[in-house]
Amino acid sequence: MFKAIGVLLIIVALVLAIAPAFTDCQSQDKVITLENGKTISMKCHWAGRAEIGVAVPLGLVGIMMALSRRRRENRVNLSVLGIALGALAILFPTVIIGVCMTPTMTCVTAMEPTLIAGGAVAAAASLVALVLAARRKDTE
Amino acid sequence: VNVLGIALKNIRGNAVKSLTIFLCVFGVAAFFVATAIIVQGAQGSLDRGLERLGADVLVVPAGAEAKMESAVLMGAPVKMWMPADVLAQVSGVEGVAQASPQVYLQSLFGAHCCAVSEMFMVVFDPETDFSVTPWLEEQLGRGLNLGEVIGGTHVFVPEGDEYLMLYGYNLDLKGTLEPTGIGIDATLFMTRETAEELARWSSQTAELPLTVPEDSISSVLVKVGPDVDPHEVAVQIERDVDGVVAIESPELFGTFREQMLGLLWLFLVMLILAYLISALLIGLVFSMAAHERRREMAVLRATGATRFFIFRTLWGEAALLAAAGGLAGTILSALFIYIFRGYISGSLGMPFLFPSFGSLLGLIGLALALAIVTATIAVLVPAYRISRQEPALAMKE
Repeated sequence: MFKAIGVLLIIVALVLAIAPAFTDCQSQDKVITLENGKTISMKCHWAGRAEIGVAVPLGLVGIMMALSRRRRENRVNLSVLGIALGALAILFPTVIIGVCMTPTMTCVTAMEPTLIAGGAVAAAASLVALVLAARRKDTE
Repeated sequence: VNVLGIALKNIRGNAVKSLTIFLCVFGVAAFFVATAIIVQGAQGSLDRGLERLGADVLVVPAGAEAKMESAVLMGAPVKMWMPADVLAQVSGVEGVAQASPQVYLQSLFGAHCCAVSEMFMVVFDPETDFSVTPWLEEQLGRGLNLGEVIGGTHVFVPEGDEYLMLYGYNLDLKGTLEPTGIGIDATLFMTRETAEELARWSSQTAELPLTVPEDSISSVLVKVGPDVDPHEVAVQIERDVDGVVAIESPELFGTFREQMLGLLWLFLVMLILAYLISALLIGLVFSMAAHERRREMAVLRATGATRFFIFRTLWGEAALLAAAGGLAGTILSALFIYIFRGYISGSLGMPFLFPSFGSLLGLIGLALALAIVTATIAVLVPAYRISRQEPALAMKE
């Protein structure tokens, strides 16, 4: 079961890291043009970048969970970390950084929901792992 | 020993069988709920949009019906004009209780002067309007002053700004209307006074000036009197007024409704196929499981269990798996549609308004009932067979 959850976390980490590159406004050639002609990225782009910072540790948690020996304490710690990272994956595009305001932009219709769903799956899977780990004894 | 206890032990004892049935029911329930939410969401959105419009009949220039439909449905800016005296002619038609003109404008595309790009703008006459004014009276307690506007739910003042800038002129967004899921959500409403002021300023402040033709209007919204048939009024308007088309509001989205009906049939056929395949698979899996467990059932019969008890044990197992799969499928499907509603609506090119919590609960209940009935039908034959077998013969095999 922990191997399956570990693999799931690795897949979610890949989605969190890759999805913004194809769904943020910059990927649709939309940037903010200043009066002096310079262009800057919209905030959804930075929310997407921040997700890489969540995806890397989440991927590592997934690898460690899939490969970890059957020590209860390790699994509990990894699960708690997974829940926290899942929550962060949701908070970056919704609260901490946010996405663009226009409801029809790709970052609102595709990027934000994908990151919320990914974060929710990571947090839920880690929660299941935490419950299972807490109920089992060390079998090393 | 009770039915539930045995059913739960059997579910845990054969994980592959349980997972197969769970996934079958999960898939059918999820597909059913997703289809129902999308169709209901589109229908609800159109109904809410027509309610917001508030007109029984819309009078537009001849040949502009499709433009009008796309403007209201998708919020796509349109340019259509007819002489302003059409209003007086329409008002004079028998059965017309109220008639109000509207002028359709649009903001500039990607211009530096503007906070928003290519927005559909509707200019209404506060003296005669019955579409936006009742909402204004209710929310603001007054009409709109010069420079004030209201917008659909997708219209907003950019972060850090105090006003909505259009054509280099600062507009005060006084409120946003309730969501409808159609183009009205991305539409800006203003009075003729504000539109004319905007046009005056735009010649100096915008990259391209805004023009509000004095002697032209884009459409006339008509409300018919009580006990008057809107169809008869629409026919009479077309007969009496040259160069216009009168669209009865239920027929406003006729083309779209036809497309939606086609999509609904496609979904229905797919749902029936998925349902039949799942029911067959569940029946097959249960037949195999029942065959494997015939000695176990014979022992139960030998120890005093009735045939009905054996039947209930198998049915209980199927019903539990169906309920779990159905519940998980419906809830996850509804969550998925809710989170990705903007993307789904954009991809399918249809308006969408997420159904109310009450109707969602109704849908989930219906899907659960469907799941349990499916499992019951699928398990009927194997459960009946195993409950009818002779214990002595089964134990001898």
